[in-house]
Amino acid sequence: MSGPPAPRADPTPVAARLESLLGAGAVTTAGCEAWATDGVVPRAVVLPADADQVAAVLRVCDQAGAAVVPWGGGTAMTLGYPPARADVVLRTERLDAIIDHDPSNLTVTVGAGIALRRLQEVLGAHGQWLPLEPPLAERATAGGAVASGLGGPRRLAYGSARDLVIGARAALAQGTVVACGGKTVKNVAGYDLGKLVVGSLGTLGVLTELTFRLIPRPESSRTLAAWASDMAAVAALARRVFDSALTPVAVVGVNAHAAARAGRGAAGLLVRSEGVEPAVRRHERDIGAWAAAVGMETEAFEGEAETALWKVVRDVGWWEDTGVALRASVPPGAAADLAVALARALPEGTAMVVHPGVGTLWLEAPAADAAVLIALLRPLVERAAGHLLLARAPAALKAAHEVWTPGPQARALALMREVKRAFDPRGTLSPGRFVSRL
Amino acid sequence: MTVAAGLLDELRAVVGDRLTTSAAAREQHGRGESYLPSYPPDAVVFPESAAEVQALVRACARHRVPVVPFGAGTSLEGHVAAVRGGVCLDMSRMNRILRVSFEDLDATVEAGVTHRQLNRHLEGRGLFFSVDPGADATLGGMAATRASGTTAVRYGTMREAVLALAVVLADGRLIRTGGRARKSASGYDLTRLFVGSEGTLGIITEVTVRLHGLPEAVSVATCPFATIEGAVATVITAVQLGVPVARIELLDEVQVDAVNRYAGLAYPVAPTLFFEFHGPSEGSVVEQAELVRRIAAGHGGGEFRWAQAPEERARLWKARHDAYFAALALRPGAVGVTTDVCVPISHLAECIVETKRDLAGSPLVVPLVGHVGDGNFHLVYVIDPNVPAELAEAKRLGERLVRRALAMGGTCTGEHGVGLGKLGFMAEEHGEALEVMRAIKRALDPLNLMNPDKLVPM
Ligand SMILES: Cc1cc2nc3c(=O)[nH]c(=O)nc-3n(C[C@H](O)[C@H](O)[C@H](O)COP(=O)(O)OP(=O)(O)OC[C@H]3O[C@@H](n4cnc5c(N)ncnc54)[C@H](O)[C@@H]3O)c2cc1C
Repeated sequence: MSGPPAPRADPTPVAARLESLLGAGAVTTAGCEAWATDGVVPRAVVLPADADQVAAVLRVCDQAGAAVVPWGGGTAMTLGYPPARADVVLRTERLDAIIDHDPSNLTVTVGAGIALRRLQEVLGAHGQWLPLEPPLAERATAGGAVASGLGGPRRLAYGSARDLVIGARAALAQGTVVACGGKTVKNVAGYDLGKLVVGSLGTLGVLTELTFRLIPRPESSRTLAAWASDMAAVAALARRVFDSALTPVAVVGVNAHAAARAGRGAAGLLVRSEGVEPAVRRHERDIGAWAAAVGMETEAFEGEAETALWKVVRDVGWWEDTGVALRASVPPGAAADLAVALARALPEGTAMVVHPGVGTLWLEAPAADAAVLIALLRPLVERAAGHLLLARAPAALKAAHEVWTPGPQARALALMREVKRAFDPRGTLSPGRFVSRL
Repeated sequence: MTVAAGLLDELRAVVGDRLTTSAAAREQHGRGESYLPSYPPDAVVFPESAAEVQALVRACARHRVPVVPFGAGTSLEGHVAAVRGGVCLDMSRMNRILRVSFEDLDATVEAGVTHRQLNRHLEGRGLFFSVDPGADATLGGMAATRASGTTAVRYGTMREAVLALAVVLADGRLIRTGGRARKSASGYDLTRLFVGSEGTLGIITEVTVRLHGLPEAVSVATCPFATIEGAVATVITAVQLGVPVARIELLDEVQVDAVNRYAGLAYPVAPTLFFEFHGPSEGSVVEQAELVRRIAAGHGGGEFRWAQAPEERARLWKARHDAYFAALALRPGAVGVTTDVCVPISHLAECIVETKRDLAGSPLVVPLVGHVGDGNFHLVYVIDPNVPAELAEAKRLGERLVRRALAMGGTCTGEHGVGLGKLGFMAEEHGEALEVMRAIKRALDPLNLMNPDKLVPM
């Protein structure tokens, strides 16, 4: 990131200045290896107590030319390129308040560092939930989930983080705190800054507060799995479901290797329906009949078994510490065909989870197969007008392969640079980590 | 300011005789549906392709002349006013539907295609486009104003509907943002930066939108209420229970009376909810409707009147969509000053009741309609344009309403946008964020030529 050079008037080391700002207990300079991003080790790790302290930390670092990497639950720190610099890791853990749960407005405002698990417990007590299910959701924070923009299995029905966030506060690099949106589901006053921050991996600002739309917990939920000998049968059944008037909340195809993770032995289609009981029954009846007609065996999941099954689906890419994860995004109509084409060509031991209604396809494989997979996927995905994300990989692999392909068109990239400059003129926030190493 | 003859020649070289400087055309293009006085542009041109738009924008940039894009001109807050003169780009001739994909449930259209035109094109094919503002607006204008309609409670607004855009920037470059994959393309979400930018960052030439499958079963009902609180409480309870209602619209008794007169209907003159239920089967629709009927009964709701047949449903929704014109017809020769606030739905009843109390003390006729499932409602102050005191009274009431909404955690506009009319509230609503918006505007439009003096006060 080019920009005006940072003034270095104050010779006090940054860590010492942060310590006088936050108190000694909130700044660590020992054992920083544990807080490395793709091997880039920070000089200090800070734990600000509130949004004002976050802003103060950023102001100090920005003036000193120290790069800051925000850190939530740490579950998605493998996303993006290794940062060019990472002097200070800013942990959001203490921004964990439930600031305003308004059950009758179906909204909640929380500190960005709140663990999603705790938030869901509080909402659950009111018969509500936030349909945000990133990988490792038990450990992820609300802010991290939003900044990484990773969706979950029920995105088909409830939208992605982008759709669920209706308000946000973010501390910007120069130490101002801006608010975008609010507690209303509609707002057309001004540029939609909130949507820029979602999915920006903390390169535009540090989220300090988020307001989400909530969903009442459904009366019933069940999942029907239909098992088949090959992906073509799975794809055909998925098509049958989407051509019907049914409204499932998640439709996911898995190859046999992915199914094995859930203790099953065949490729399958998992269809989850939620809502009033008659609607759930209608889904089971219709899909069961269509599956039976083509000789697919079906199995119903409910309660804990259902939760466990979807957790496997949700966490694909994050199953093994040593694995690589790839995500292909294509127009929804192209996803099933892509899965069928891939099923024949994938290296042994690659798990595939496809969301045909949304158009995403996740693969997890041993790191040794990464190069082969990337070479296989790139042309197929680009031909389908889609794009590919190397979501999780050892830093060495990321040095050899682009993380996002295709990258933005040159003109769009020029605009993105302007956006970055408007938010973070000196390139203080996670420099080099985002698309095209912005 | 007047446009140099040299520029007019350059524009004619691009569009030939699709250029006018007639007073009537300029007057109309400088006003839109707004109550604000017209600020006529110096010339109006009618491009037919993105390449022409690029050439026009470049010519204007060379001469340092403002460019104001114009869709159908239905915006209500002076969005299309050529405050500093300049050239209006009327996009209505860019009206081709470029592609529809039944597999991917999306369509790409030129910016001048209107939502009704797109839905006519989709008729009989099992798909529809869900955003339906009351006027037949263009998709370019709707994207530019982040418009919404009666189905936002179920299907979302233009924010959710737009997947990709082609935009001509201030320097004449054409960029494409987003893509047909639902997961937006790599990088910052430029698509949503342009959605709602009111023509201040560039000219949208092409819009790709998401479509929805027509539901298997649809039914529509109206229900009058003894009190407006009862109607609002019904909406809140239904939303909280997660009843997937596709539309919930409120008309107050003044508006119902106006609609009756305008369309020769005979609804009981009372606060009334209009509902539409969508479902995968007759059974599921009946169940939703029954649940809502019970909720309504508990809040002083009267009898549900059903409309099943498609023509009947269409008639009913036409009555709702014509609400604005029905309101104006209450007073021949009158103009409408509209306000449009959105509050957290938990404050909706309070906000509406306080507002109605305020109105009761005013001599003006002011119907109320609302997309209440979203916490969004509108007032139309029906005023005589020749009586300055009436406009002043409308403005006074409107400001009080906006302040009330902001105090309740709401916004000064849920869907009509900022334009000129709400510019004064931007600093109050956004604080420091306004500086970031200004930085973005300066970066993308350094000469401040794209619809200047709108949305973001510089
Ligand atoms: C009776 C009535 C009912 C209405 N109901 C609703 C409603 O329910 N919901 C709602 O949201 N709105 C409603 N509106 C307001 C209006 O219809 C919307 O704001 C609509 O989106 C405007 O579209 P348009 O094509 O008329 O745009 P215009 O009015 O022509 O332009 C609106 C703004 O967008 C810009 N613009 C237009 N085209 C482009 C382009 N191609 N590229 C870049 N910028 C462009 C213009 O410069 C201007 O700033 C209503 C208006 C009326 C009169």
